[in-house]
Amino acid sequence: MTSAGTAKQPRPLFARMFRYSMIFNWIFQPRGPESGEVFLNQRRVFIFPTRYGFLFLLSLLAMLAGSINYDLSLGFVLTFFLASAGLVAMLHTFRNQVHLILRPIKAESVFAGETAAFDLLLINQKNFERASMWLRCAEGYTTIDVPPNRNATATLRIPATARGLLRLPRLTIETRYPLGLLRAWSYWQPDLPCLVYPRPATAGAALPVAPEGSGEGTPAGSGTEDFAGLREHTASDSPRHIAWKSATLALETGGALLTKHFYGSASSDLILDINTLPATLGLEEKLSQLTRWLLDAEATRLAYTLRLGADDIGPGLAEPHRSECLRALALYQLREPAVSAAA
Amino acid sequence: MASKRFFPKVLPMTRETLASDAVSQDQPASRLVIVTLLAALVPVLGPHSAHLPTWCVGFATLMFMWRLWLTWRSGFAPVRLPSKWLLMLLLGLAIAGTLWTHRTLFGRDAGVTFVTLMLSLKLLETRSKRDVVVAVFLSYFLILTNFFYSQTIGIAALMLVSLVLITSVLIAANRDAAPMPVLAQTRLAGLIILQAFPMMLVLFLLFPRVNGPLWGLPADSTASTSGLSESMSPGQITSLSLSDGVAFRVKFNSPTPKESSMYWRGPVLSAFDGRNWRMQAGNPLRPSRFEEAGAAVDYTVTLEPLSKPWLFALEMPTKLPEYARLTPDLQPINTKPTQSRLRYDARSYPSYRPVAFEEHTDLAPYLVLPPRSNARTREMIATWVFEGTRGEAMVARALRYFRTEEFFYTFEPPLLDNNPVDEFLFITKRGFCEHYASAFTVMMRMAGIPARVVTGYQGGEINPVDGFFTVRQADAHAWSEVWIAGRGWMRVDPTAAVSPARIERGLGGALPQRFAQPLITRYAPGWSTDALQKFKFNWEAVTNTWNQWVLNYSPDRQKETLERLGMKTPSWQDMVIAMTIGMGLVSLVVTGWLLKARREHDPVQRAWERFCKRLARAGVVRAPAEGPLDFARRAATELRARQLPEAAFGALLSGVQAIAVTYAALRYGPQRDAAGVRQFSQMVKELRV
Repeated sequence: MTSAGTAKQPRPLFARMFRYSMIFNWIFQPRGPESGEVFLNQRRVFIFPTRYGFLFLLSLLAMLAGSINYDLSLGFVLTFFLASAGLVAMLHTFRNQVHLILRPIKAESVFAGETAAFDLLLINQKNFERASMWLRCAEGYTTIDVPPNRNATATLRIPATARGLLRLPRLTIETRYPLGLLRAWSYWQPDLPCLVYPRPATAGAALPVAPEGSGEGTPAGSGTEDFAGLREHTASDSPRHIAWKSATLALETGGALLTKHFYGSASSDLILDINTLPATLGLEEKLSQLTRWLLDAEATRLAYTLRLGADDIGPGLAEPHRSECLRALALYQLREPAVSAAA
Repeated sequence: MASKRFFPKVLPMTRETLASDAVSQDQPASRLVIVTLLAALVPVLGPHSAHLPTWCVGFATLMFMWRLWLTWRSGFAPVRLPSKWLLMLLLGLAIAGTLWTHRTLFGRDAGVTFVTLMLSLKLLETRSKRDVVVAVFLSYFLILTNFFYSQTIGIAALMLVSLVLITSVLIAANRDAAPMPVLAQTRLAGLIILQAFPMMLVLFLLFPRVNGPLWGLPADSTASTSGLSESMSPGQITSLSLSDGVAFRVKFNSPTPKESSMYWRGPVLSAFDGRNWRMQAGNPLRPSRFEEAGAAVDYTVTLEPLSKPWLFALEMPTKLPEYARLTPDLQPINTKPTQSRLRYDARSYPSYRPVAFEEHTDLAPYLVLPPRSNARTREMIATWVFEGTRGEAMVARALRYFRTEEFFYTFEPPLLDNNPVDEFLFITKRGFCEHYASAFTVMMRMAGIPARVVTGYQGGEINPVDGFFTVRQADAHAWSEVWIAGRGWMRVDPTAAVSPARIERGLGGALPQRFAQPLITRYAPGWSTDALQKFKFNWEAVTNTWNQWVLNYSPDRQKETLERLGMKTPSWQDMVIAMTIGMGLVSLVVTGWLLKARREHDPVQRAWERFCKRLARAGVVRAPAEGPLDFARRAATELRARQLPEAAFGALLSGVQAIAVTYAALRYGPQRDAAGVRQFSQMVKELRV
């Protein structure tokens, strides 16, 4: 589904001049990242013939010349029928795109090196089908049909190369349906960041468990988790842990949703400290190693504490502790948390 | 300022877009698309099989079946098409075959052969969406080429079906996500063509027409044949095909003359070499003259194309279109061959009075006969002359000879040999109008009376449905003209002597009953029922309307029509303006039709909008981009601030929440059922704000 971006080539001077011109600004009205729903009004839909559209026009001219030369009345009828069908197709293509509503849904966090999946909702409030809608950017594309009066979720998969917040680049939403002679398109940059955790280092280094007796840690694996309290819900928390009983109240009061907070019954001396790692490793390698250990600790159900700089996170085990730690690792010492996918 | 940061990222047509564009065009075409394409090609290529070379039909059929077999065999796996080298070999064969048959790759017939071969080869390399689009465009072109050969209503209907089917292939090729049911894609193609119809009509009526041709027409451009030719060779053919083909149609603007006096004058043949009659080449003579007499007949002729410069008019025409002229022997001719249906007005005097003014030199060519031929006839005429028969008496005696001897009118006469007139007059005595006209004219020349053969059409048939008079190829006729001193050129129809019915009642009456007649021939009592006749007339009227309005919509006709619609002497600029306005208006109507659909809302959406409107009246207005749950939460907060009574507030709050949650589930959820939708509408209705 996805195709990786290739090395950028310098753009021709004219294209660069056009990009910075007022005409460009006036026509395409760049908006930047937009949060929430986007309604594709007429101003946001552009339409232009495709290569096939021009080829079609060329064959129509040939057919017209033939009809004149051989005085074919039905040749005129056919040529004019096709020309009119081209115009009707323009209206169909435009209708296929205009007044569509776009909404960013979610982007589950992934590890660097994996593929980030951005779920985008296409809302069709009209009683006709919007077929063959394309969503594309430099890194990937997807195509989807939206049934009449229904919605469809398009999943755009983009390779996550570096840790941090992966933001979607500007997307092109386009359609050539029904005849492929014209292309209607709109631009949309949804404000939907995907949290990319550091790439886990290859397995090998054993967990830095503290010597026996320094704590009362019992081996995990009993599977018991204790309710530790409530805290504010964040996007990375599992929806399974939302405190649904209090959600109604949150709706009334306008307060935030709450998430149940658990920790493992065991406390441990497993401390994942960035400073204890050898100085020969670079920052990214250190974070990778910590991520690997964190995952190993989760797998063996050993409670752990993450120590990045001054504050400790934990000790704890499983969600939401796991997410919290991974988030800290993902964003650690990032000056500009916003990392565009295009970067 | 904020815009500066993301500004460089916003590009209209990025390289990336174009790259992924190429990806979407290279998608393999699905089985469904290929099968639909093959099916749609059947009505496009079918009619061509009648005039393409046999080997080309065979080749195309083979390629077609090959592709069908490959697609069927491959199942849902990617199809394995023949190698590039094999295709190159086949292409070489196709080019060689076209060159061998037509001696060229250009021109009408060679072009059609070549395009057909190209399309059939294209089928064997159609892999991606791009290939399908190319095949579709080629098919559109092949639809057009069908009109080179026939533009009947039937072909037009078949090509309309082809147009819809081919367009549905294009739709299928553009379904990128999921395929569409065949019926639905055909319906959409039909809808697009239907919506295109009014625009097509505007373009057809108002697009400024120019007189063709734009470039030289190849010799093979008109395939139609006439019942008449430049020469007449009685006895060379043993049967005359009775063609139902229409020669021309006539609308009389004054009372219709009697059928027996309708002699439609065509080529005049006055040079005889003993076997063939030909037109006099480069006739330098003074033209024959006549005076107007009797009632004038005004009429409009719609002539079918015949690739000859001949026109036809009732004897004798006094008024013809500007471009036409009369030859010295009074044949109406056009400046150039009539390549397309031609409409012209004319006036004739069927009861014209010839004027004798010619001198010996004017008449000499009409007395020429090859020496030493038809000795027996020469002998008989010499006897008659010796007996003192001269002038009109000679004419009467010759006609009497045809009547009294055992002559028969037949379409299947025996072959005649070296002395055709002798053999016809004394041995076979069987023939049709050509035989009689030729023999009679020879007899007159032998008697020293200047004579010539006139060919054309005789009679015709009135269609009571639309009042048009139809003259068919089967009405082709030949008669004689003799020059009588003091009277001039007089018409004599020797066929009338042997078969008066042939002249008075048309061809159908002249034929013996056992003779197999074409279905359309008139006056065949016994099997031609009234209903059949009525149907025939109705169909003819439809065909004529079709010819008059669709096929004959020439620059002249366009001007005439627009003038009738109120435009005074429209120039091409006026037409372009009118066309633009017309297209604009029609586009508005079609746009209205297309967008009308959006007003019929989904019931869930309608109920939700009712709900939002009611809350807006209460002061809580939903922001355009606000989701239902966010909106409900905000509504709850704002309503709480109103200090409503506790009970009323509680009911309202739970109502708003339930509606928002249900709406989100119905709208964004994977599926919905009718009961849920009804329940939702009920909830909105019962909410008290």
